[in-house]
Amino acid sequence: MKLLKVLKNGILNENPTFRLVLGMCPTLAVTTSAVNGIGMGAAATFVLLGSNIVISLLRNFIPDKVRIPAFIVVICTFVTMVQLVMQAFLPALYESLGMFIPLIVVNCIILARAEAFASKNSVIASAVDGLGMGIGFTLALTIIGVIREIIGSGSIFGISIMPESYEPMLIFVLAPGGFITLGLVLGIINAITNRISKKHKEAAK
Amino acid sequence: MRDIIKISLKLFLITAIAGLALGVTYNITGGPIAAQAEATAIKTRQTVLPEAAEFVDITTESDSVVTLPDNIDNAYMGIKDSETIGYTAQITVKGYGGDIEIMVGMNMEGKITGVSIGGSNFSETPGLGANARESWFSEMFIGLEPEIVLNEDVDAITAATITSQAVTNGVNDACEFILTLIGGAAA
Repeated sequence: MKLLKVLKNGILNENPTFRLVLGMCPTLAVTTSAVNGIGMGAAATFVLLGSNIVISLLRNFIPDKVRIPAFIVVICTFVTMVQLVMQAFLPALYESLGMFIPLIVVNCIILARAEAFASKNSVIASAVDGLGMGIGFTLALTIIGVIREIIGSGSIFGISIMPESYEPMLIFVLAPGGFITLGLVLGIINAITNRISKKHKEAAK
Repeated sequence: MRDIIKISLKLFLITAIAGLALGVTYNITGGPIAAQAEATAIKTRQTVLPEAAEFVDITTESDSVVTLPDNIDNAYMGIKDSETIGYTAQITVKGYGGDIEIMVGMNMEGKITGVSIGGSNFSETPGLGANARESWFSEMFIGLEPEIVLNEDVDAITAATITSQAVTNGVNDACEFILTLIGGAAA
């Protein structure tokens, strides 16, 4: 089913972090802990869903020559509205996710999906793409966040799991650690997928 | 030429509707957001000065009205059994990523009863400076007297020196102000 393929695409084949390598700034900044990773992923997924839907609805109205400014206006408006509504009516959620919302406005993934998918596909497909990309992003953030938190703070989701004698490697919750972790995970994933595609090639022969 | 006009009109329509939507949302959410802020402020005051039963705004409601210095956002007198048992003062300092709102509660003996760190513009680095909002950090200040020296009286957050120092300075400044109130009340 075509929609399922779109969904899977965002999570695996075209994972925004590990395949499209988009949204690197928030990825590095926010994955200092697993909880922050999930929080950012959840907020970004919500925004992706909304902006993809709105831009898909307007895809025949927005003139091609000014599509980038138009996308940005739509995305920023949507994000700001979400932030205000959250702040007013969902204070508990705003406390935990609120600080990530302004960061999402500068997240390339949103603009990239608007340009590459939502402006050219139906509303439902765009919504599914937004959902898939969001889930893929959240997954990537959580993986990196868990690794950095375990090595850098000795805990996972705030629960201490390393023995008392473990001296946390602080560098992993700082910027260099972010780069190192991201690079290593990207390398491992590439190695695995290369191995898999080589196996497929051998099988096809 | 017609093309440019058509495109400009469409872009104008998009931005106009966006502006309208934002204005309406801002209006609708303005009231609830202010109410949330007030509720949080009351709760925070209670946390930093737990003994108090009620709070009186010293700039408007107390017998001797005081004008606040520039750096203090607000200050309240804590009352229990018709007696003043302490004060709270809120100060905003520049942290690493943005403003940090600090509320300090102090009793009449000049000892800190509680510190609350946060604010709606709080944007310290998650996992580092943001840990300033954890209870273990703010609780270190309880029972201390100003001037508080970082790394002597309280521990800094590892890898978040700027945030830690900003908070310490803020607490010291707020305490300095409250001591003038206590001194005034004793006079």
